[in-house]
Amino acid sequence: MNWTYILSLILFSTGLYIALSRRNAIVVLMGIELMFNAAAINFLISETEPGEGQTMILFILGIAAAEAATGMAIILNLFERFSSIDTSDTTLLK
Amino acid sequence: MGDPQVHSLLKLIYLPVWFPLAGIIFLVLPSSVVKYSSLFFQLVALIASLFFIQLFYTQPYFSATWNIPWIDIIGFKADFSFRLDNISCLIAFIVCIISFLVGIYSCSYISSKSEQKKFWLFLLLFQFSMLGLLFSNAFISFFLFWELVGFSSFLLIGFYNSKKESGSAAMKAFIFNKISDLFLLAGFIFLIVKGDINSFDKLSTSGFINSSELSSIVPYLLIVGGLAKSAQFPLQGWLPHAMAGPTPASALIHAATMVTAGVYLQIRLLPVYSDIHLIILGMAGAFSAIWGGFCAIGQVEIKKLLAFSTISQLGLMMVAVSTSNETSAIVHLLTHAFFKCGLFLTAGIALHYFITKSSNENEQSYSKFVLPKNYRTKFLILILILLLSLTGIPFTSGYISKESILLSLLEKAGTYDSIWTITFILTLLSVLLTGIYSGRFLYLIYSNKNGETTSNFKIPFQLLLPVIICSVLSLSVFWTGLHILGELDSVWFISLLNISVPSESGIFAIILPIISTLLAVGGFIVGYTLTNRPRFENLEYLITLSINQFYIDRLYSGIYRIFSKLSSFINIQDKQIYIGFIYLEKIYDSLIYKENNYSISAIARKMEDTAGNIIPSFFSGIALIGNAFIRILQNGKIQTYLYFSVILFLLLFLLINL
Repeated sequence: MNWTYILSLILFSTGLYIALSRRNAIVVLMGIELMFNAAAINFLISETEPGEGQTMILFILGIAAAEAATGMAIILNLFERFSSIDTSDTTLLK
Repeated sequence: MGDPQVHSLLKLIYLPVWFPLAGIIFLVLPSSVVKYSSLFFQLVALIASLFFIQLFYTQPYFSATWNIPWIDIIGFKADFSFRLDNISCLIAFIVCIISFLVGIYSCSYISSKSEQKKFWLFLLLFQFSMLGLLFSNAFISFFLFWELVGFSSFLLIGFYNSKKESGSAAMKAFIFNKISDLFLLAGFIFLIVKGDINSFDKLSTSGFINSSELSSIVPYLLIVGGLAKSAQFPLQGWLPHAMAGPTPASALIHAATMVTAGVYLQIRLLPVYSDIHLIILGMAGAFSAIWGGFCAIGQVEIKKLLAFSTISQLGLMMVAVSTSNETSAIVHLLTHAFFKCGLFLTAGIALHYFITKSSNENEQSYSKFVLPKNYRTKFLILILILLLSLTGIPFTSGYISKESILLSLLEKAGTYDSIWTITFILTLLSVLLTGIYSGRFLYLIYSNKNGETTSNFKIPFQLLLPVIICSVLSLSVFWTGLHILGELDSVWFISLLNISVPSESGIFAIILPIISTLLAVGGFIVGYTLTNRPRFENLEYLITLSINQFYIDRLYSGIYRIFSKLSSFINIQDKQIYIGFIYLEKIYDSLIYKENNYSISAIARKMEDTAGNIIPSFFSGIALIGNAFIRILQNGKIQTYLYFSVILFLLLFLLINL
């Protein structure tokens, strides 16, 4: 048993909890980033060849950056439309 | 490598880098204790840097490298490597001592409790990343810290985030730095991938100049990469606006330490450059020196005047680097750090305490400051020492560095291209300009005698102490025994001449200090007396040119405007095409459903109606309950849907594992 899995587990559950419970959209985005990082750590510890996990991490970092940029753009548009980034105010998807 | 006893002491853990980081962790303490803990860690960092400095007195050319393995992918290896040598240790010492002084100053300057913690966080983050940058050896880790430094500068410029102008100033600084950083990153990538060089220490041994393939582009990329951070010529416009941040941060970051990171980078990259690149670097530096000096003359806000003066002095440092005499560049970096920091801290005190009530609050115009009677002479002495050091009058520290820069330029001018002569003349001219704006600064802050002052006036000692220390350290006596740097080991202003005098231009080398001192003194007197007149009558257009910074900012915003016009034009075109497609779809829809005369929505409505008739009434109760249930489920919050999908996923997971 690799103890680093515990770290990744904690990171993932923290991220999931934040993403599900927080009402501030930016904090939700932060939670999603945490889950990304948990996935990255999983890649790192379960690599079969040296360097494989690190390569995946570089990809994940790139994707996470792109995701953060998209997320922030969405939040900006959300704010423009609802003048709030509280997720309980944005319930048009009924 | 040193002897084993020294080597065992030089563990990575003693590097001053880590202490500001520890200070950041201790920011979780209650805010009344925070300033003491942060000051304590800054002091420890200062002591650690002093400890490393004293090593170089016993072993002048000591250097050590540590590699911490970081990224190791097949074919690409990047270590987190730290390197310790005399240059990095000396600059780290400057960073630590200036940070400590600014820390003391800001204890009193940042008065509100809520802002204090934020300020300490930014300040310690800056100190950590700056020290990391100085000790970094590998390009990747250097670039990481380089970006961190830029980021903490961004944070500190936008410190008063409720003001609009400080936000836009922070954005401006960030964008200017990003342009430059892209070039730097490109240069580093070329070096790593093509040249197989991944750290600064391999650079000096690699014989880089001979490989023509790389040297055709990489040096230019690296030159541009260092320009914005040091606010050098085409990318200088952010620094005057960066004064929107709190004054102690301006003193630390935008005068003494961060802006010198570009100079430090160029010193490290000297092995890359050949003569032609050095000429370009020197011209950029000399031009910035002239430009900054000229723009400083027209300013009426003292902080902006100092910002332009910083651009000018950084230009001088770049010139010194371009003569491949890095010692004089570092000495100027050191002396400049103290006198410019002192001047900024003085400006901060003046803006807080000496402003007359009658004048407009927002504008730091002429004769706005009135020194209270009990501080008048004390402040005159402090400011005079700092200003004379800035102009480079003998017996001040500024003289040592400025003279050594001029002498090494003279040596170049005698031996190489005629372009060096132009650089030399431009630099001499910037000495004159320095004198003029220094005189003007003194006039702005000191001349007004008749304004209302309150007697029994007390400035907190925490604000005065750093200024006093800075001005004492601007006297030359403290720097004459600076023998860490080798050649300039006993820099008294006469013995300096004996060391650096090149044999061919002997007669000039004796005349030069006299000329430059006369220029500086003359400029100082002219600057002080001519500011007296409301305007220089015949030179009106020069002053407008100076205030508007040669219209370079206007040029940039003009370019921006052209691009934004172009993109909005394209945007309109795009929208029209897009709308055209939408209409096309509608036409298509109507063509399909024309035969049976139904649109999609009409079909849907019809289905709803029939369903309403079919459902018997005794089901309606169940339907209502179901409706309420579904209403809870379908509440429109994405998070609820996500929550259910997580539960569903977990159930599926359980089902598979059963």
